[in-house]
Amino acid sequence: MEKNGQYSNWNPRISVFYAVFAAAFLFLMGSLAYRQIYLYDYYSARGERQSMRRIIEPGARGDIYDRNMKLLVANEPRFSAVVYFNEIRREFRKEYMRLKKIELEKREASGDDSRINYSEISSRARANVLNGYVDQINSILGSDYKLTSADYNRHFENQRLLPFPIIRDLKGREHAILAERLPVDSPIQIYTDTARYYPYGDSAAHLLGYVGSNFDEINTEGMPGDDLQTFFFVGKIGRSGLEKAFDSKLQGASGAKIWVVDLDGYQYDNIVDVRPKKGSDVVASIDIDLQQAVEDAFGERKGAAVALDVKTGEVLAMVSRPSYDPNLFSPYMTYKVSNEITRRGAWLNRATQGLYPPGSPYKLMTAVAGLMTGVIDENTVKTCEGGIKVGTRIFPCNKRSGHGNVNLEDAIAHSCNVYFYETALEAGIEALSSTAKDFGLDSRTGIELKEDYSRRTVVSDPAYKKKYRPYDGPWTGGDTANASIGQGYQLQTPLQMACMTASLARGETRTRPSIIHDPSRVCGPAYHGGEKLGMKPEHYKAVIDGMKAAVERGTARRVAIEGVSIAAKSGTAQVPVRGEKLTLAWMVAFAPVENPQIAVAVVVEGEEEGDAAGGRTAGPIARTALKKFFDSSVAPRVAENPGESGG
Amino acid sequence: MEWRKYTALRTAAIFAGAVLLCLFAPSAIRSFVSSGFDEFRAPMDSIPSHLADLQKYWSLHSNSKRDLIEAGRDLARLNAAYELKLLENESLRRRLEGLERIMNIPSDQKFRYEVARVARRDVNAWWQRMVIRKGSVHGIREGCAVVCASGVVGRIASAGTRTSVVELVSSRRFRMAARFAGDDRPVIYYGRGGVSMHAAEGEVFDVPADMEPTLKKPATLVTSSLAGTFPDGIEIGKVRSLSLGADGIFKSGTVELSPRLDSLAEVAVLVPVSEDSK
Repeated sequence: MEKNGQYSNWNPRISVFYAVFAAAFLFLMGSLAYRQIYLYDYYSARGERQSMRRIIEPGARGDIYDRNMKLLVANEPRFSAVVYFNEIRREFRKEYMRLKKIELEKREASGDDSRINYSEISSRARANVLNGYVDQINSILGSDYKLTSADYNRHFENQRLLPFPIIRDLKGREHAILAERLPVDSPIQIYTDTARYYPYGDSAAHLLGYVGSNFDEINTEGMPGDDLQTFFFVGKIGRSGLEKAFDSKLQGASGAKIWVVDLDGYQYDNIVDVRPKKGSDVVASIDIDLQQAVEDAFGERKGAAVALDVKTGEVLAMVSRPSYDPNLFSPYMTYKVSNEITRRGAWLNRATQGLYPPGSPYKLMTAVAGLMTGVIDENTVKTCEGGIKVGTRIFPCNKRSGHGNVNLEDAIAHSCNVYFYETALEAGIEALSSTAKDFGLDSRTGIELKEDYSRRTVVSDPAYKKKYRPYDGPWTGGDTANASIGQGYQLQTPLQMACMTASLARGETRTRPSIIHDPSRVCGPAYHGGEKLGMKPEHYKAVIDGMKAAVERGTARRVAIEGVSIAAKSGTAQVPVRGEKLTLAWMVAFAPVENPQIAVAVVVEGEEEGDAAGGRTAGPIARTALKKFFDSSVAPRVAENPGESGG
Repeated sequence: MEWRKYTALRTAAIFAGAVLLCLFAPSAIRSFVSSGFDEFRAPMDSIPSHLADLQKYWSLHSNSKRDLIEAGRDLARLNAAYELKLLENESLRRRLEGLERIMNIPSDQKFRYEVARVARRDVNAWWQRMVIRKGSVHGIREGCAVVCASGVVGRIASAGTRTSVVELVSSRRFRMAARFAGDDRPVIYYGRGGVSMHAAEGEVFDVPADMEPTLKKPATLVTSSLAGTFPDGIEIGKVRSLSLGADGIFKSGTVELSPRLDSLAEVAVLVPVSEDSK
């Protein structure tokens, strides 16, 4: 720049440049210092996180036992032949280099200068190495196992730290041969996993339930390394029955491993190892011997049966037929198995979800309603001439020639419809439905099983008909007559009927069933949430005497067991199924009458017209349950606490 | 002195060359050299054993007539007892065959017993092996089971023409599928290795949690016939205690092997009959 005719070296614009330069330099230095000094901990932790991976392994599920500590559900070993990718990485590398060299030579020979697909070579190298191991196993076992590229590429990309299963679920012989013939230091290792095992097969399958794969991420709360990239082993979750209801208890505590990985993502140092823990065991209330005896008594028939401990409400047996073998779902359920169970209609737990017209056992409710309202007493005699006319329709008795003059005891013993038609018509539907609701026949029993109750039980009354069946017109006397014998709109589950029987046996209105065995329950009277029946003793006695008479000389004769006083009520309900009038055979019973210990409800579905009748079909099954109970060790254990029975 | 230096250099060069040859020679050549060396060395293993037998033979010559008569009498008694046992076994074998026919179940794999004398033992921290005086000419193949009166001895690791190397049941390189007597569930047995002067041990894994052996009532670990190497039910060892793993499902524990493993003079190699006939 020219100043006073002279040129000066200093140019003011340079000062600006210097200032900008200095500011930029200071900014850079400041930033560097900020990151290197101030954010040191942050970047240090981030660097560590980038080089660490976490593996979450779910704990094994707890076992399930019956009330006598017999093992019902356990875990059994499941063996797989696996390799860990980090143990064969050298082989991957060697094969990769070999393939790359071949590719380069090929290109050089052909003059091809297009870009080499290294990822494809890498994938082929992995395939060659892994297929080499599969061939090794095949040559030992004489088998023909194959791997697909999708299998190992997916595993390599997403689950590199987890063992890669070359062969899953080795059969016993395969496991034994590999254990003996594979060198101990071979990269192929035998990995021991667990699968759910049900020693009793299809016995109590609906009650015990089954498990499925839990593809949702496992809860890792409280585990170390929450901010690390995490790999999960697939766990199991309860899908039905006890497995579902007590899933949180049965689930074990997951374990966590934190590995330091190298740049290629292979683990080389295990810095945290929290071992998974097995879940808690569950003791179910059932007696597996009793359960199996009742199942055997069903044979090939469809239906359900429930046996309850009258005092505690504990379920001693819960049968639903047809059943399925949950071992078939282990380690996973196939479509074929699932379709087969669907075809047989075996998914439904008929004991808790099956809705059936209760038929004649419901007459006990009619009797209680009649006695409570005072329209009948223990001496009331009615004349049965084979049917009565209600409105314009004749309602027949089960004995077309009529029972003649019958009192309450005979009416229950011989299941006289006319007696209960008249009683219900006199007492009124409100009294009848109110009594049934008091016994909990319109509500859930409170059992712990978390099942689908999308269809509800029904105690028929005018309000129900108005709300759900308006197209059937207003409530009529015929509806009341139908309701009095457990027909019409009535729908109950076998479990509800068992609870009703147990409640009646104790002279109370409710029984809260439980599927869990709690030894402390037998120490004192259990509170089930209901009330005392509030009947006169002679009235209550008349009902029970009627049930006793049914066993001694009435429709429940097939339940009788020598030396045991039993009260029972049989029933044969009619249901229209696809244009056919099929029958349901019912039997409810409790024993011993003087100190009730066990209550049973059995329903058998007829499959052809007239092939099922209460006493004939359901009676022997109820008898089997009672006989097995009194023959086995269950009876004395619950007999220690004589309860208060009677109205 | 120059020639000495030259010789030393030449020796070092030969040694280095041999090492390099060992390292980089194709595996087929290495395997050939190794087996050739084994065959060459085999008489060295056998000769001391034969000499020991000869020594014992001559030492027995010094026994008095009375001793010999007594020994002969004892032997006659034992022979009579064994003959009875043989008859019993034959009767049981026929009954078993009859039952298998009636129940239409496949017969267990049959084995031929090839009795062999032990030539040498390598029982130390590195090796748990023994050399026996029979080999491939007697039908012995790699992988054949080796047993003795007290149970499992091991498996044939390599079979030479007239000698074979047995990997002992106590070796760290020994693994097999097993089960507990009276229980069908599979478990895995591993040898634990060890040194002489210490009872041989192994380890058992994947034992179901309900197995509860005690010091007074130990559980007997036996072979499983699933793999086809061993017949079913031959004793491996005793398990006196098991500890539950952290997963709460499987137990593991120490297997006490027979102390006779250290002093075996004779063993039996189980040669599968089907393999033998090939």
